[in-house]
Amino acid sequence: MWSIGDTKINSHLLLGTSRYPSPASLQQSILRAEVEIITVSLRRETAAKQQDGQRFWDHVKDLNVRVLPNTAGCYSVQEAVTTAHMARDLFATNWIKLEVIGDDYTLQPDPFGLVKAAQQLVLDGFEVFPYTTDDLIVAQRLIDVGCRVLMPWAAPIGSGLGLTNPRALQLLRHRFPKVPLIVDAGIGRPSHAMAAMELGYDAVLLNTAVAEADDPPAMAAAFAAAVAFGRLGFEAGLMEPRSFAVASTPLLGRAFTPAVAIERPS
Amino acid sequence: MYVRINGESRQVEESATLQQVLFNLGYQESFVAVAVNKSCIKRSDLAVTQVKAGDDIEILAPMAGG
Repeated sequence: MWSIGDTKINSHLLLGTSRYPSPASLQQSILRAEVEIITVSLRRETAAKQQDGQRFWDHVKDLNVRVLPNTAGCYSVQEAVTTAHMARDLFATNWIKLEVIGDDYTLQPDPFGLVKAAQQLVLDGFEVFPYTTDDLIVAQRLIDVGCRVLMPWAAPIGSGLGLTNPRALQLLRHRFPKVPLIVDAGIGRPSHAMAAMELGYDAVLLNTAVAEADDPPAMAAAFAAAVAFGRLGFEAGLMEPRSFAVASTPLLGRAFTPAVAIERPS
Repeated sequence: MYVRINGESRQVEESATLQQVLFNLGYQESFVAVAVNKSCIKRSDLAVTQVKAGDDIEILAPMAGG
């Protein structure tokens, strides 16, 4: 079990709700993953399509999961702050996955805008989950302004590349041992999620790898198992890698070796 | 008078409230969040918030997201 503020959480997997082939597939994936937290978003709704949002909400609101609204698509501090307030009003939660995007091509977070928006939202009473890079100093600044959880990326959103810089993620874990850390974005395979958990991360947030699988509910189950086993391995204490061989079978008593002289008492 | 609603120029009644504007647009039963001029208007304040000419109104609904 891990926690964010006063909230205790059992599952080490958070699931996004986008790009599924059908609402039923999304629902089944949430159930098979046994997640407690799903991410949702806010978008303009035209009069002609004004039931889309309601329909989506109807599909997820009774699944007994906590929603983590995001500010996806925001490119400025003001857009992100306003969207966060709208999400809080609509979803009745002070949790917000804060995204302030700085680059269209990579969807890389804008660290300067991110810290500024996080500072404002913490002052406004939000529990801010900042989607950030693996930069140590940005992480420190986010903590300085009151973030109690960090969500560094593994790789660009939707890329499926996995942990492109595991040493940076490991450094964040080492430097912030008490801060809940969630790898968010770039996870493509269950083994990627397991690797993140073996680093000591508290959770993994992913979407595309499940939603675009041939069988999303089955992939959701695979990811749930991967994060659970990764966490189990971390908690059990992983051995440190060595540069040279160390025999696992005892050398003492090895066959075909000279006898060891036994000293007799005089 | 004219306002902008989700980026489009729309004509609304003078001194209409946000709730009336939403109702006239067909949002009476919808689960939406509203901002005016980039400030969130709480759902509980929609009925007492008057729209002014030139207001920039955003109406957002829940959507799938990662």
